[in-house]
Amino acid sequence: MSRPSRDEEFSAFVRARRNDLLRSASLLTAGDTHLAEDLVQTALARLYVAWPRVQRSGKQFAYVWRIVVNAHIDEVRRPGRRRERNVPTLPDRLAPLPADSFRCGIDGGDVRAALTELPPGMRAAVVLRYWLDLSVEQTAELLRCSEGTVKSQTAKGAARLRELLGISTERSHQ
Amino acid sequence: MNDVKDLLNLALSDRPAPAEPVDARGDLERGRSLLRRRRLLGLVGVTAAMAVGALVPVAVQSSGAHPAAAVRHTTPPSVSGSAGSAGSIALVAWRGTQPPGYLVSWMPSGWRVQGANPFALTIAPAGDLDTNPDSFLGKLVVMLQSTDAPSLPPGTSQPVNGRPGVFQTAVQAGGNTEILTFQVAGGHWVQVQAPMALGWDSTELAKFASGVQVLAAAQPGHG
Repeated sequence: MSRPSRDEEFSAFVRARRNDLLRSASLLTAGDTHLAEDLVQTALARLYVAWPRVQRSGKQFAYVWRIVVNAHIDEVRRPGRRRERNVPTLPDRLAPLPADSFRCGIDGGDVRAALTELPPGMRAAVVLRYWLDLSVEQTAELLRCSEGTVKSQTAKGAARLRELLGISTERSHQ
Repeated sequence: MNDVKDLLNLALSDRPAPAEPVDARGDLERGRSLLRRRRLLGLVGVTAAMAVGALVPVAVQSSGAHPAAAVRHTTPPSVSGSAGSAGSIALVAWRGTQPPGYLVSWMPSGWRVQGANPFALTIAPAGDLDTNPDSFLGKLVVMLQSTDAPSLPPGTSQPVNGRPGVFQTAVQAGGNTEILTFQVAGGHWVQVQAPMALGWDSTELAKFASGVQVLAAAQPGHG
């Protein structure tokens, strides 16, 4: 039986992991699905080029994630990209909510709005640690920073999210 | 920790689920296309090295070791500054050593011509550890558009010297370089690849491109 070709192996990977990648990238982009799709397309194209080497290492997902994260940070830092957008009316401010309203008072849009307030590196640390359940060591390797930086960025990111959404620390530890 | 995971889950809960089953054909085609482009760049480098070995010296370092260039440009690099956008590497006027094929009037501050041949001009940071001028990763590269390129790439309009040009972001170009494809006098289409490390926007890339001159020795790649 012949070994599967690069195309076959790559296609199988895409079929198995693309939707997970897209959903996770959507968190990284704070809900910008178009940018998330661009990032995933870029990452998968580069994965295809590097497939023989990456496939041997067995770290395809980590490789793709590193590209997604770096491309996102590059995109956000790109000169000419506007961080603020002009809108006709002032956005609603998130009012602090009572601790017991977590389930009923916050919707997905609130969380996405709160995510946009995190700097891209901090947001990446939060998504990698909390959403993808990567270890501190894995996150540090992927973000190419120290484990201490991962810990501090993750803690600050989580605290900032809770603060923006009006979730008390007591409630979050229950 | 779990409350944050719940929040992230909530952020996705009201978004439409991605299509199932996944169609991998688009990603496969984009991957193949990028691989072809990478191989072409490698092939251009190898072909150029072989061709130029018989025609003109190549792999010129900015120290001025190129004999022909040394005759034409005996002065050391002379620069005058031009502030770039915040966080970017500024362009400076350049009158240093330039081998045949392409001439440039502007140079990223602290960067030097690493090598050139009829197929490509390679510019890299001074002291770059990768001294192979046929390796384009992380370098600023000028080349004629391939004769086999079917049409202009998708992107946003960015004229250069009043002639048409198309700017592609790194995402649009499918890699980690920005690409400006523009027309020069004589009708040739030229491509400039700029690494993200330069931090340039389309305007700064167009300014660099405005100083590019294509000489008679320049040749397009194939593929």
